[in-house]
Amino acid sequence: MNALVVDAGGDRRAALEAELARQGYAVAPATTAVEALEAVARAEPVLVLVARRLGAEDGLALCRSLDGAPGAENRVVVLVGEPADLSVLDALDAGAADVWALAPGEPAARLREAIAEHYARLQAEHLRLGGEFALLRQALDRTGTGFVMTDPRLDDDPIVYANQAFYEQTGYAPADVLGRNCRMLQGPLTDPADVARIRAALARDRPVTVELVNYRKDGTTFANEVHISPVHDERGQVVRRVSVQVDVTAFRERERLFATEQTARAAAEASGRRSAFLADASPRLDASLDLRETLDSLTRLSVPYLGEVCIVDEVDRGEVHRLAAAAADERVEALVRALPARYPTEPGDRDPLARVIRSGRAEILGRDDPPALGPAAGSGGGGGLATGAPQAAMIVPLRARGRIIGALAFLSLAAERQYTDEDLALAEELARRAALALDNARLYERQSEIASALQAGLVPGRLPEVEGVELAARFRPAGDGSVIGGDFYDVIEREGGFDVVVGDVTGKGARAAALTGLARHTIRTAARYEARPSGVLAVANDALVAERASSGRYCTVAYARVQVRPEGGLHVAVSVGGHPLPIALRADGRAELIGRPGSILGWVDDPTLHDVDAVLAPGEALVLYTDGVSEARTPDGMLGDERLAAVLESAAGMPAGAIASRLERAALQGGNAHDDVALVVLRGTVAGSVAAAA
Amino acid sequence: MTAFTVERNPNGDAMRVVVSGELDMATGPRLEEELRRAQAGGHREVVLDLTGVTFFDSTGLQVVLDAEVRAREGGQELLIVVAADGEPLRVLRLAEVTDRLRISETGG
Repeated sequence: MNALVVDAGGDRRAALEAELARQGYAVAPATTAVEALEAVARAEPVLVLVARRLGAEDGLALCRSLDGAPGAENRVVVLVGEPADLSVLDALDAGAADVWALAPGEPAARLREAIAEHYARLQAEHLRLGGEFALLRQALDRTGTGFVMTDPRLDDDPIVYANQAFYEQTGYAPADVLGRNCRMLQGPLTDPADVARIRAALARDRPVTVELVNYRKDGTTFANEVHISPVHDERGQVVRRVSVQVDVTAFRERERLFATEQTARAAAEASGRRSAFLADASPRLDASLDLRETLDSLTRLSVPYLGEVCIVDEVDRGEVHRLAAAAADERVEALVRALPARYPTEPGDRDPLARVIRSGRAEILGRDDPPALGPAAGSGGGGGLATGAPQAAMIVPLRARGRIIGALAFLSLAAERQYTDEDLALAEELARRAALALDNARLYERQSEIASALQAGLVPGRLPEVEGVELAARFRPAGDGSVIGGDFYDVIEREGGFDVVVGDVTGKGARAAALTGLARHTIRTAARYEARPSGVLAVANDALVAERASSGRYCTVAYARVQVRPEGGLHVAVSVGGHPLPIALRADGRAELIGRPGSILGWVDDPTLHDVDAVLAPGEALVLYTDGVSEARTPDGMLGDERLAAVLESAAGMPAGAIASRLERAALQGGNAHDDVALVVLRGTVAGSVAAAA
Repeated sequence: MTAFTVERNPNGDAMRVVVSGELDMATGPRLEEELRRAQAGGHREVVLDLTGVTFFDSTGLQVVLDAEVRAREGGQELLIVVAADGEPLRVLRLAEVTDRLRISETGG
């Protein structure tokens, strides 16, 4: 595989060439744009590193030329330069895929890290796009950083791929590791607390970075900095875990020698506090896929620990957009919120926010350089904050997938507080996590369009036709339909009848949808061999309990096994798990609850479940529904069990379709559904009506 | 619509989380967050007071059950306080979980 380094000269070019060569690339050098374009046409490199400054020429201009040159889709162009010289936005604009900030004379380790990050980003992108692995694997096999991929869908989350560097790091051969769990690298000196942190993060599908003691094949230990990220498919299911492993033994050894015991203890305490703060922050940033909620969590959790005011801004085409703001003091928060949400950035680099977003470099502002908070700092001292002008500030870029998407600002109103480099490091770490969460939320927002398509997969395409039975179903997702998951229903044909299931998975979003799919398919499978409805629900309970650690969601179900009686009418066997009981609509117009309450599924190992048998005479109906029906908010308050019964009683004797429509109307009279609404009505046909209908 | 509020009141070795208003898809995450904090605080017992909750559906159910799982795994006590004639108790009964939760009923 060919790579091209375009740099005017100096130590950096030598270092880049050496590192790429070490990773197995055949490296061609070029010093000018003309040489570079010739080399690209000749060698067809898959990776082109372009220096921001090429003597008198501009690296950005070269990126643009490369973007227009033949074969652009087959190569990755990366802009390399000193941090101060790089604008990520400009680079992306010019067609570069990534930016590596490398000051001259930086250690080779930093270079490797930049390259490892680059591959991790590429890989995630690749998986997200459902791309072909072969090419990527070739590339990964040549990097100097250890990569491992596991498949959590297989038993015990085994390693399904490891690259050459991993084998070199550990001394293992492919046959030793493929198919085995990563815990094979652990040993007596591995701290169980580190392992527990990994496990806890994996259980919640969250990325985690842990440094732990690992063992090589020959029994020697090394300090392994492991970063594990879950990779989701488009349904939100974790299909791979990607683990990047860096041997930091040498680094740790140096650190240990330099640090005196006392400074080590002080650092441990401070970093303990910081870790606690970050540990607290991460789950909350990841808790929601909603952009607004994510930002609110971020700002709320930052005050007052990192400052009295926390603000999230993005800059878009010369305008600052305030996305969220919070303050420790309510009056200050009101003032901050009253500032304009959009205003033009000042020209040049006077506006610190715009400056940080442009340069991608975090800044600490002190008393001499008071931070502006709103439009035209000149129009009102302290950027428009009437009380308590900011005394100090930290502004940190929000960077996700190589792009700067905004900035996070912390302001201190207390005169005695001045931010230190350690505060800044913590702010940057928080920003890194926040940017990821934000990016996920953004991505999710875009995906809301496909939500309804996904939801369609949660209900059957069409109802079966069974002689002697009328079947009708209604399904209405909550709100505008952009949130997926929650309710489902299914009709499963069996010998001599069919099963009807109506269920509700708690929560919303892609994970709820995934669990809904799991519940529906488990039930479908179990329906074939379980003799009683309670048996089907018990099987579903087992499957859901097994998933609980990763999902934390539960499922309520009403299940009816229906058989057409030879003498007319229907026999039903009903089992219910934590769900509203089905209602029989009797010939005399009464609504009657059928079944006996049982446990919600997915919570405990030994649910209490019952079967109740009942007979429906011809013309009598059974209604299964979710709490979106009974708890629908109507202009007269919640619909409630009594009014629900009254609505049904008024529909006695009607065909199944008419009963379903009447119930749906009652549930939706308050406007958009507050919760999903799902219902199924089945009714034994009256003698002669089949012939009449035919 | 009643405004939704969550308060955390430490009381000796117990932490009391008092909720009022409508607990639904929009407000559930806030309670979840407060509960996680309360449960991470190292208290022997967390009391979740739902007597002021006027709307309670599967979102609230999930928050309560998750809190119970965390308490169970963390060796912590969780007590749920509900109004005898309130929505939360009705839904918890419907889900058939009351016999496995520590529940205290008030009023009636």
